[in-house]
Amino acid sequence: MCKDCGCDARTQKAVERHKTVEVNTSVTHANDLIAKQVYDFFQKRQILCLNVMGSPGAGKTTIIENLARELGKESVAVIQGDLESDVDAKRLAALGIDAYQINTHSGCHLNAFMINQALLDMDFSDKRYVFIENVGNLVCPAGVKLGQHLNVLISSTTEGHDKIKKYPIMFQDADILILSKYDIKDAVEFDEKAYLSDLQEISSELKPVMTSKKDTTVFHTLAHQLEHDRSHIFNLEHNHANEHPFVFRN
Amino acid sequence: MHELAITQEIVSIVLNACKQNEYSLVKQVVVELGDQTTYKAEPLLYYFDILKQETDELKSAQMIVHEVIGLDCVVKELVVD
Repeated sequence: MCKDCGCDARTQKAVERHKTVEVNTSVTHANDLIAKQVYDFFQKRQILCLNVMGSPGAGKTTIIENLARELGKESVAVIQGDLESDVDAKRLAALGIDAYQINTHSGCHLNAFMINQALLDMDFSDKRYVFIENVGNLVCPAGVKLGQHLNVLISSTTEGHDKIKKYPIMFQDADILILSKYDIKDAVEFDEKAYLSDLQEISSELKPVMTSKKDTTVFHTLAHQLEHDRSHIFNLEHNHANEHPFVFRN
Repeated sequence: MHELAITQEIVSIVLNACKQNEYSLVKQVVVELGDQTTYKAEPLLYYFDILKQETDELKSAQMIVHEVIGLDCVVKELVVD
């Protein structure tokens, strides 16, 4: 026993043996490192990468089809995420759009590692836009970095007006918000006023772009906005002569 | 929903720290869990008690989860032998 505090040598040794070490590492660290590599890949090639999210059936694939048509199919590649099947990749390929299918099997969202693997197998010659169609889900994709420049959220009238209140993080993370199936909003009793009010509460800047399958003119405007975004992000010369007055973000 | 995958990532981070610094035994893992993540502490602790059995470094370790304000889940510190 020691004369000073009465401890015995074994206890003293036990206290001295343990030490506290700082780690300070996020559980997303590994994913985020790969996401940065993906981002740098697209930056180097001046390819605008968009992470398209939304519930199953919201209209993600249809909207990508329409945008690809307006942007020029040869300039677009799609990385398609689903649990199983290659239904959507085949659908896009039939329209002449380069599409790569990722099956997550049980995974409810894509991650940066999956995107990085896709890059190894894809040809990006002459591509200016890559759409990543994430797994249909209003919860899990939020906040998972894939290396994208912009988050596009597809919200549909058929889901009801209350999704902003129920799934705020997805809406907070969105750079572009598309409200699809606008032409049937009355049939599904969609409360547009409540939807816009809820949106205003979480973001004063984000305004939805209303789309309908039968009205393709809005996609021309959306495509123009994406061209503008691409020019801005990569500091490219942009032809302002035909610039539309339409703005969907403040 | 993702707690098993997150716990696996926590274990991976700890084992990596052990390998880099030659720690042979971890007594405690301290995690800060943001309240805006979709993860809950209880399943993290549950999975940790299962996963730690598969490693020599963590078999007697205890995980402490501090719930904090934020969007992230961070392995803050280890108490090592």
